Order: sequence, then C-alpha cells, then structure tokens
Amino acid sequence: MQLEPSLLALLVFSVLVLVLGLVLWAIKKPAGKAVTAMGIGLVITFLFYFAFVASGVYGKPGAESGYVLNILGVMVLIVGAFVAIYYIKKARTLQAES
Amino acid sequence: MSGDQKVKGPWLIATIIVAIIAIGLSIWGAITFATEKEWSWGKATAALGFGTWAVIGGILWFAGTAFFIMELAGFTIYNRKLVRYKLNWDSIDISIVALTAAVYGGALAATGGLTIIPGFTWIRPANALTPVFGILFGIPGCLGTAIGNFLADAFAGYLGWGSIGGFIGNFILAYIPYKMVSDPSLRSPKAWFELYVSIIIGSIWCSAYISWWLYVWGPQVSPWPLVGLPAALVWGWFFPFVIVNNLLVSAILSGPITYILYPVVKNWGLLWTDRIKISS
Repeated sequence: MQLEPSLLALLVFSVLVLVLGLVLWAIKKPAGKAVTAMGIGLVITFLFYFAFVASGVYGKPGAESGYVLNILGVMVLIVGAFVAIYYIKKARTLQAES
Repeated sequence: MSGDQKVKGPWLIATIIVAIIAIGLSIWGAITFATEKEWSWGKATAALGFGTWAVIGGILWFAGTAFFIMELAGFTIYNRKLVRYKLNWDSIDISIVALTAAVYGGALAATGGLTIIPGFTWIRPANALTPVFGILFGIPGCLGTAIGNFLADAFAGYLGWGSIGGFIGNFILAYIPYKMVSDPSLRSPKAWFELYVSIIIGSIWCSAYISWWLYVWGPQVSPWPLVGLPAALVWGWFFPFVIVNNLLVSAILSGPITYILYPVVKNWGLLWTDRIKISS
C-alpha cells in the first residue's frame, strides 16, 4: 500500500502528536493527557482508514458499496456512546466510593 | 414591571433579532446554493479577492491556533483576563472526549455520501452538535468534536492534509459557544442571545480557518502543494458553503438540544463549570 504525500504527511503528523502527548504526560505537564487523547484519536482514525482501503470500500458510490461506511458511522456512534457512558458511570461510582 | 423583567425584555428582543438573522441567513444561503447556477454567495466572497481573504483568513487562523494551544496548555480567557485553569483530565474527562468524538464522528459519517465538494465537504446535519458539546462539556467537548471530525473525514474518504484544518476548525466551532455562552442552562434570554451570536461567529471562523489552511497548502500558494483545491474554489465555493452548512442546522437545532440535555449533563456532574477550577 503506497500512501500519497498528503496522507503520508498527515500520518507523520498524527504519530508526532501522539509521541508529543506521551512525552508531555511522562514529564507531568498539564497538557499531557489531552494531547495523548488527541494523538490516540488521530492514530485510531488511520487504523480505520487502512482497514477501509484494504477492504476496498473507498471510491465507490454509497449504493454500490451498500452504504457500508454510513452504517459503520452509525455503529461507531452507538457503540462509542455506550462504551463512553459505561466508563463515565464506572468512574463516577469509583469516585463516590473513595 | 419588576426589575428582572426590565432586564430580560431588551435581551429577549435582541435574541429574537439575532435568531432571525442567523436562521434567515442560513436559509437564504441554502436556497440560493440549491437554486442558482452560479451561486451569488460564492461570487460575492470571490469578488473580495484572494489577497483580502488571505489576510482575514490568516488572522483568524493564527488566532484560532493560539486559542487551541493556549487551552491545551491550561490557560483560558476568563473575565477578559488570561488566567490559568485546572482540569484533571481524569477518566471522566477522557470518556467525555471519547463520547463526543464517537457521537459527532459517527453522526457525521452517517451522512457521508451527501457530497457537495468531492474530497472536501458534504451535507452535515450533525454540525448542530458542536455548540452543544462546547457549551455543556467545555474543552473535552471541543477536543472530542475535533477528533470526531477527523474520524468522519476517514469514513467519508476525505482524509488528507486538509483534515488538520478541519480538526482545529471544528474545535473552534465548539470553542466559541463554550467561551461566549455565560449560562450553559440556556434558562435566560441573554444566554440565547449569546448562543446565536456565538453560532454566527463560530461558523464564519471555522470556515475561514479551514479555507485558509486549504488555500496556503493549495496549488496556487504552496511550492509543495498537499491540497488539490484551487484558490477560486476555496474562497468562492468552499468558504461560503461551510458557513451555511454550519449555520443552518446549528441555528435551528443547537439551542433546543442544549436546553434539553443540560439537566442530564448537570445531574451526572459532567458540566464543564463543575469540572474546572480557575486558578488566578
């Protein structure tokens, strides 16, 4: 798989953000966790991108691919929201107990 | 007439006026976009010239980037002063980032096929969520919005160097309402006035931010172009369309959604006012 320059630059940028976040976190700077969360988000996005390229769903009109990317979007919304709410509930319970 | 009513009256009138401007402008933009062969808004923005937009966009880009870095570094503007703030970035804050990113990214991706400018933008009703996330969740909500937009770019097949502009541009779209709306509950006419004004400013700022990024990395400006959109299309098409795309749904839906969600978010202890401490 060969990346075009625009995407390669973006991938390098995403990895640099993640590394910067981890370094800031390690030296206990206030921005460390936020920048790390940002970097993880960017890198996870690239994982989705590579999976879509490998599966061949890119470049096809929605109807031709069975609207698979739109359906996946809805799944990310539902699963992401449930997982995040679960962790928020769990964290609140732990904070209340401590 | 009580003193309270005297105060509320002018804010109510001002709110109605600014709401009519925001909703009217966005509907006018959408109708002309759909019906005119050569879009009058595009012709109007392009007529100002690339030089003018390069300067205006540049100022907004540098200011927007400064706000983004400043907030991540733990500084904010409070009562017109630059102050330090403390956000723990504990598991709840990180979960808020994940929640807003998943909901915004997923909702944007759901309409990913409704393309307007191939490779750059599409019809995005989920944009209505950006002011909601900013007003209720603060910086974690703004950051989640930025990540969600990036994720949606990948789902829509638009991921590229331009996505960095979209990342911070969407952060700003949530950030301006976060900083401008003084009462997140929206239980006063003043708060609604601030909401509409912030939606107009945020929509224009977000669009100018992304457009300037696409312009400077485009074929007419950059010696190493990483974005393929010509300058005429950036300022005469993309820029006004993104304003309309942001404004239309936000002006109509963001207020009611924020109003309904506020009690839930407050009860769960997720409201930004309960989670940050202004240090000095």
